[in-house]
Amino acid sequence: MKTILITGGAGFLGSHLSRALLEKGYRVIVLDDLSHGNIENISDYITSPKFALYRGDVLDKNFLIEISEGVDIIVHFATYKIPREGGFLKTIEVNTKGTETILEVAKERKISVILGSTDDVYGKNPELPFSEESALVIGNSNSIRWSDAISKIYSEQLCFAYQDAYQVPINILRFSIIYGPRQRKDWWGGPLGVFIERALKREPIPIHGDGLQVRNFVYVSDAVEGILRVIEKEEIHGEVFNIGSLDHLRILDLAFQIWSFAGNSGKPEIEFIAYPDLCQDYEDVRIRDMDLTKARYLLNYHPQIGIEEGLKRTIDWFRGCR
Amino acid sequence: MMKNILVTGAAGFIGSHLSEMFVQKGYKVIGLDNLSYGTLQNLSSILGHSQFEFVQGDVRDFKLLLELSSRVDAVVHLAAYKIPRYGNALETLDVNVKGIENVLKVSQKVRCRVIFASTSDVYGKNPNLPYSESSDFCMGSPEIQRWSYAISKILGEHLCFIYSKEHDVRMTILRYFGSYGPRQNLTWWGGPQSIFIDCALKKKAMPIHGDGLQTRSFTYIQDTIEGTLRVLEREEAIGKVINIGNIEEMTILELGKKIWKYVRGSVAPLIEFVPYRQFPGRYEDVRRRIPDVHLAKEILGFTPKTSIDEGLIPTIKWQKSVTKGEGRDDR
Repeated sequence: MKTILITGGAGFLGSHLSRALLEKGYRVIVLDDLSHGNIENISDYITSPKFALYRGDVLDKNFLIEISEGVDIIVHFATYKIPREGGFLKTIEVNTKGTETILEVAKERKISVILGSTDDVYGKNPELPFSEESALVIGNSNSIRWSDAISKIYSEQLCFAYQDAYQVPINILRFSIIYGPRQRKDWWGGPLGVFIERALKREPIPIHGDGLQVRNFVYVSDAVEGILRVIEKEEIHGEVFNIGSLDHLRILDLAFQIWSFAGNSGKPEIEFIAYPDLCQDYEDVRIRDMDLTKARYLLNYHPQIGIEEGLKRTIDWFRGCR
Repeated sequence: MMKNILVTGAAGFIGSHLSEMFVQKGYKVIGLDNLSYGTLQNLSSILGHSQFEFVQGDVRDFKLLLELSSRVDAVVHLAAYKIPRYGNALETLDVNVKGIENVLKVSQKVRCRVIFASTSDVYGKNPNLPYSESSDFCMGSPEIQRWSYAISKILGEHLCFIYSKEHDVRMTILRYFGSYGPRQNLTWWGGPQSIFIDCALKKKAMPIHGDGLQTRSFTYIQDTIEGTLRVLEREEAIGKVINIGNIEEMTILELGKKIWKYVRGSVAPLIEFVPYRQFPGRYEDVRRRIPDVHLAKEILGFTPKTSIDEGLIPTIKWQKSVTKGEGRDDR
């Protein structure tokens, strides 16, 4: 059975993927610096003989070479994603140099790579829904809000460049907003975690902008299923896939749903946060939704968990943590 | 008053003209180039000049860059890989990002100004013309190598802004729109006009990509370097992005015909249309590209003025002389 190395494997998505892979009999190696990942996420299988955790930095190439002996596929999730919290330089560095290091290791060890990317790369493209062929439209570089998107776009280009130059087989998965149990409860985990925390405490819910922006949300087990299908289809490489769901909703409606699923009556009090308070030059994307046709045809990917079921399960998990 | 300038990519087309002009204006210039694409011949008029020092080296060499930049007031960073159309996407991504990153790192230490040469290609296929400095960037699929150039430059611009905000680096980003003139590169790297002149001189068919109705604006080298010089002379340019380009728009086909006429007179032009599908891998062209130059006018008091006709004549004359020199003149 194959061995999969997951960078950022102690994070939310990485830990769900590890468990799913172990259940299918794969060997799993996780690299995580535990800066945002959490050991608790992997506590139930950390002692499994088929599992190994290495604490380390994704920029440490020698270490990566060492731990990737016998590895068949690297799934690269380690990333910084919110520049307004993580520091802009750090975001670009971890994202671009991290990907470069992974590709260098893959080249030397002859390993294939799956890059975790984001639908943020489509930026403010007004033509919806986004297909993998859609243009990547980002705002000007003086708005540093785009530094995460450009670092991902750069990473994607780098993957194809390594595939062309050194025949490193690569695939790129562009995820929409992934949510579910074990997700982070702060903004790092997206709006959903913050909303649930507030709803359970019956506190006002903070919303960035006017709340009418639309996003696509995918339940974590569906996202994991998408990754598994790419891992299992060995003949597929050099492809970009959208991995999301059929659920797209306004942030405000998400807040209302969470409020009522959390057992509250009436409507929540909303605390609107204007963008200028958030970050200078912040530009939000109004609608973000993805076309899943390619994943459906090539991967037979069909998301199973709708937003209502997904939210209930996620809220239950949040309750259990309290 | 700034007196000492480091020019990276000094032996290239823009770099050599810029270095020459700085020397003429009384600046002291250090020219850095790894000579991968640039040539010493481009610098022949100033090599050995007391105000000019040439250093062969790579912009990715941090120590070297630190040593050189510690002796200057400003770095004009031109060194870059340009055209990934025929491969080299990896070099493009690597050299272009590590180059500007090193320049920013050293300028944070030695506190020199930075001028970063970016490109009109960052606007990509944005359909809303003309392109002002705040226009969106519109890139295509990562499977298409041609975008690696623009993406490397966008990332470079982001690094400039971040170093400016987080470390007070005084930088200016210039988006050059297709420069041409004597000493331009004689391959596609130098732009279509370079290839067309070569073909016309050799009585060969000019290869036109696609239908030839895509438009560009072409900026004569003297205008490009004039704009760059003014940036160095003006503090107001710090922290800004400025388009440097000619607003005269023309189709690639018109350009080819014009060049043919200047070289061959009334003889009907030989044209070979090359469909994009004949390129290795996938390719995506940009239909139109025109700069909005209001900001250059406002901040630099300058807009490019040389018309394509004025600029082509000396360019063709030069290209004819070097083609002869190679013994490849047509019989």
